[in-house]
Order: sequence, then C-alpha cells, then structure tokens
Amino acid sequence: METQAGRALPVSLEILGAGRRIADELGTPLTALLLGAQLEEAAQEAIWHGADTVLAVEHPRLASYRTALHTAAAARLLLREQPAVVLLGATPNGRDLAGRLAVRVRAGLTADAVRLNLSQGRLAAYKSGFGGGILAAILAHTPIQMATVRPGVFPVPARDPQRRGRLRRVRIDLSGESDGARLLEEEQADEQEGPLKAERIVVVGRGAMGQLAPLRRLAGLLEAALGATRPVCDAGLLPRSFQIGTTGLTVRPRLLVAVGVSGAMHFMSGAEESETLVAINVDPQAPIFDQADFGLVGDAARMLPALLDALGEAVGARRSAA
Amino acid sequence: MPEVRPAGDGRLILDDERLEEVLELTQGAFLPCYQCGVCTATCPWGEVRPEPLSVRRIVRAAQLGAHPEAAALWQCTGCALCQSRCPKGVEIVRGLWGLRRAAFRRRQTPPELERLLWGTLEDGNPWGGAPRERARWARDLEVPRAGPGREVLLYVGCAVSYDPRLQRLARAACRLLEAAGVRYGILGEAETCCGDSVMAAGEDAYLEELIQGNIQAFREAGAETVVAISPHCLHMFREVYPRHGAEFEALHVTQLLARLLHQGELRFGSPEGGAVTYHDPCFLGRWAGEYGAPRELLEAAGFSLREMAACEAEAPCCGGGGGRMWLETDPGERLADHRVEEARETGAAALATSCPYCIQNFEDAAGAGEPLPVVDVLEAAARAL
Repeated sequence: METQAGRALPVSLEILGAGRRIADELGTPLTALLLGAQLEEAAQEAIWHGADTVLAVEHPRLASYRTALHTAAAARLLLREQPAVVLLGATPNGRDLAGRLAVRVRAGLTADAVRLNLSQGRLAAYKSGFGGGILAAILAHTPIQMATVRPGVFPVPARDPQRRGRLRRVRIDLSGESDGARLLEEEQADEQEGPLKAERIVVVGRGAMGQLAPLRRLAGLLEAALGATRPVCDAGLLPRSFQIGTTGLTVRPRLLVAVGVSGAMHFMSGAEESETLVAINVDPQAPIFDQADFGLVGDAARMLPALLDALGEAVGARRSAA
Repeated sequence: MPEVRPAGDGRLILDDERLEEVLELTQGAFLPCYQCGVCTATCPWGEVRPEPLSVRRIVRAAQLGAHPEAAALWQCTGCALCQSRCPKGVEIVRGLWGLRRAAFRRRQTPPELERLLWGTLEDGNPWGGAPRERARWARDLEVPRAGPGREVLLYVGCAVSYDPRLQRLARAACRLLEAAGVRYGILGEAETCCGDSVMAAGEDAYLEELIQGNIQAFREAGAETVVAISPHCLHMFREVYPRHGAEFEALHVTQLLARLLHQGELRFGSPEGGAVTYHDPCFLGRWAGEYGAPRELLEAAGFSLREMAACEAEAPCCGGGGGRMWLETDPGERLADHRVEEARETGAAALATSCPYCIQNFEDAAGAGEPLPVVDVLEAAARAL
C-alpha cells in the first residue's frame, strides 16, 4: 500500500478490495504491506478496508518514496512471506517499485491491470492495449505473481470500523542499503504540473475564459488537472504548459471535460485519445459534440453553478460514507 | 572528425565532410549566393520580431560547411518571398529544406514535429485522426470514389479531411465540380498524406516511401489530373512528386474551376454581392504562379475585389507553411495578425483566401479583434451557384 502524509492513497484501498476477493477464493489471508515513517492511521484503515494482517515497516529512511530503499525492504519481506499474489497501485511510484521488486523476487508482473481474476488457481491480470481495442489476460508462471492495478478501476471497499485484524510491526535494518540519492526538497504536485499525465482533465476553452474560478473548483471536485486551448493561453489565463493540441500537449486522460471548446482539429489532435470526453458548449452545432461521449448544450456560466452544487453534494456524500 | 561549432558564437570551424553533405543535400542551391542580404531584409519575420530571421547567415554557414542554428531552420515558413527577390535566383527554400534533412540526421529536429511524423506513419495524416474517419465529411453526400472513367482525382488533404471547419471546403469543392459536370472522384479512406509536413520536418527516407505509395495509388485510380484543395499538397504534387517519377497533371482546385468557367461549364446562378479582399497563399501564388484563378472565380461569383497594398507576388505569409502549424508562435509575433489588420484596412466585408492553413491562421487572428469573416474562395463560389 502506498501512503502520502501517513494516509493511504485511494488506489491502495481499491487494491484491498480486489485482493480480498482473490484471497477468499484462494483461501489465504490478505496481508497489507506498508512501508513508511508513520503508519498507524493507514494500518488501521487497511484493516477496516479488508486486510487480515498488516505488515508495517516503519523507518525514517522510508518516510518518502525511495526506489532502492523501498525495493530492498519489500523484497526481503516478500521473500520471507512468499505470498501467492502481490498487488500494487499503478501509480508512478507503484509502477517504479513493482518493476524492480518483480526482478528481485523473480515474479511475473503485469503492469496497469484493469481486471483481476483467478484461472485454475493462478492470477489472471487483464491489461488493455491499443487504446482499449484489445484486452489481454496475462498469467504469470512464477511462485509469486504480481500486478500493478490501474487507479480508479476497482471500487474502494466498504469501511468497517468493527473489523479486527493483526498489526505486525517489522523492523528492517537498512543501514547497509544506499540509494545513491540525496533528498534535497520535496514538492507536492499540484495543478502547476499541467495536464500531461493527469487521469482527469478539465479543459478551459475560448468560450469559458470568464469561468476560470468555477472551472478550478470543478477540477478540484473531480480531482482533475486543468488544461487549456490555445486562445486561453494566448490570453495569459493559464500558462503555455497547460495548452493541449497541435502545438501543445497530447494527453490521454480517462476523463476529459471540455468547457467552451469548439472541437477544432488543432485541439482534438492533442485530445482524441481521451477515454471519455464530456463537452459543455453553448453552440449545439459545435464540432466537439461529434467527438464527445456526453454533451451538455448550454452556457457554461449558467450551468457550472448547478453542476458544482450537484457534484459537491455527491462528493461530500461519498467522503462521509467513507 | 574535427570539432564543429554552430554559427552564431562568433566562430566558424570548417569541416570538409560536412561541406560535402550540405552540397549533396542542398544540391548546390546556395553556391550562387553573393551575400547581398536582400533575403534577410525581405523575410516577413522581420516585420513581427525584434530580430529578423537571418537567411543570409544561414546561407553563408551552409556555403562554408558550418552548422547553422537548428532553431533558425525551422523558423522559415517556406513562403519564398526571399527567393522571389533574390538577384541571383538562389533556390533558398529548397536549400533550407536540404539543411533540415541534415539537421534531422543529427536529431536536431524540434521535438514538437515528432508527433506529426508518428501521426503520418500510423494514421496517414499528421494530426493523428483515425484513417477510417478521413472521408467523414462526405458521409451525407454522394461523393463518387475515384476509378475508371473518372480521370480527375480530387485530393482532399489531411487538414481539410479532419478539421470540422475546413471540411466545408471539401463539400464546397464537390458542389462546384458537380455543377460543372466534372467526372471526378475521391480516394476516401484510402487517401494518405501528401508528405508536405514530413518534408518540412526533414525526414527524407519516409517521405520517399509516402510519395511512392501515393504515386501508385493515383495510378491505380486511373487519375490523369490530381486536383488539390490545399496549395501545400499542390506544391508537393507539382514541385516534388515529378522528381520521384510522377507523371500526372497537378492543379489547384481553383485552377480547374477557372478553366471550367472559361469553357462555360461552370456558371453562377445567384451571384453574391459585396466587397472582399483576397490573400494570395504563398504556395498557390509565388510557388505555383497562380494569382488569376481565385480572383476570376470571386468576380464571377459576384464579388468585387479590394486589394491589399501587398498582394500577388508581394503578399506576405500567414505563418503556416514549412511545418509552422506544429510550432508555437508567441502572441504579438504572429504574421497572420498583421495580415488580418491589412485586410481590415481595405474596408472589405470579408477576407477570402484559398488555403486551409491561411484560413485557420486568419480565423485565429480575426477572432481576437473586430470581427472579419474569413472565407475560402470555394465557399464563396459555392454560395453563388
């Protein structure tokens, strides 16, 4: 499981749900592995979300993700515990760790799985290719079978504060380990990162230039990055690094919400690999509606407040349920 | 090999091998240059940027076999205003494209152009549009496919096939050709990029493959005349393809339509009124020498022409050629902004042109200030049918 500031990432809770089902089918316990500095809260959450046991490795050098140190610690535990299946979130760090770890423990690894099941007692991890055109089932024939799981694919399992489990604190000596790197500064990624790698993007178009504040809120509620079309960057509303299209970025988000974007080729050439495209535009003839999976015809200035209210309620309800 | 440094740091370190490579790739284009500098003074970039693009310096470096600055090579739009005024008749753009090939070999191509190369390789168009959607603009029209008995092949081009705004040009072209009774056809989903942007990126090996594929496709379709909507495609078919064995006649769609007008095959039943100004696209005007056909069509369709001060062979560039559609230009330095201003000064009700890239750049520029409709000659003419 991956943590940030002591809290489990959503994808780490999602893999607990996926892992619970597989563990039950295999008849084995589900163990959550946590590596970090302060793991009390995340360990408790892991149990409430379905783990039977939590292995918590607390070490000051594991406070933030370090490829070599996390690999060394996790490899030692995996070799000792010999789990049948190991799941990680397909986050940048999760994918980084999984590759090294798989080599270290001689495990077969499927990256970015979108579905998991068992086939004759072995893990079948499904991976989409060619822009979702094919779905391949991959089986590993190694004692330990690994997969990284795409965030947002599996639901977060219900949280049950009555659930009990076992917390095992494990001490690992990292004094002989070096990662050849020195941490100078840690910076939290924020919207200034731009939309390049974002899974969800809210794009501000020429027709929504006056709506930057509500669109920022929309992005916040959707946990999305902001993106922009060329005229919006020309006007200086967002930096050039946010520009999507021919002379900007090519993005491949799971969700792209285009507000006030007409859908000209120069924009679409950078956005057409979006999995789901939602368009809001005042002009029902706008070409973006030809490409969109969902279209809302209307003035963004009038639609956004209602949309934000509804989304705010839905997100609030989901958070309080969690 | 001796150390080679780029020009511009005050030193030129000469390299015989490099000199030979440059001579080969530019086919000696720069040899006649005597460094008068008219090219630098002429270059439209000097109008919008604090420093002009020093064409003369690029040529000098190449003459000596030194590396020119790669970035400067891709600043050029290929508008050919410089070479139209060159007293020695130096084929500057052809030479520059040769230098781009040398730069491509050294991986000095701007990274932004990589995408257009992949798009063309994978999808047959530099915008990465799906090949099966190439003829989507024609889905509710009965546009004939090329084949026996249809000697005129209408080559639609990538930008017109995929951009919803530009698709109107293709639809207008079909209406006009049908009205004039032309037995024409399109390749539809089988049409592939002409290679204009691939050439601009400097990738010559793949360009050769593209050209040969197209020559064969045109031949199999029985095309004797290939009619292009974009002057950039026309330039490829007229100037580049014949060097690779092509034997078909290449025309711009306005050239064919003007011919039909003279023959009495094309008539306008409901001529429009109003004054328009016409911008000569570089690749139809200076490159193909065609200034009359689009103007004749506009006038026959009922429009009166109000010329801008700089027109025909003197017309400046919109900024879209030579791969510039894929490279960002800072606001305030966009050639199209200036041209749209000049068009406004004529008092014309609309700015007409006959190139998809010009349309895109002008609409972009015209959207910012006082509205000025931008129309293609095809759209204007089709309305008057």
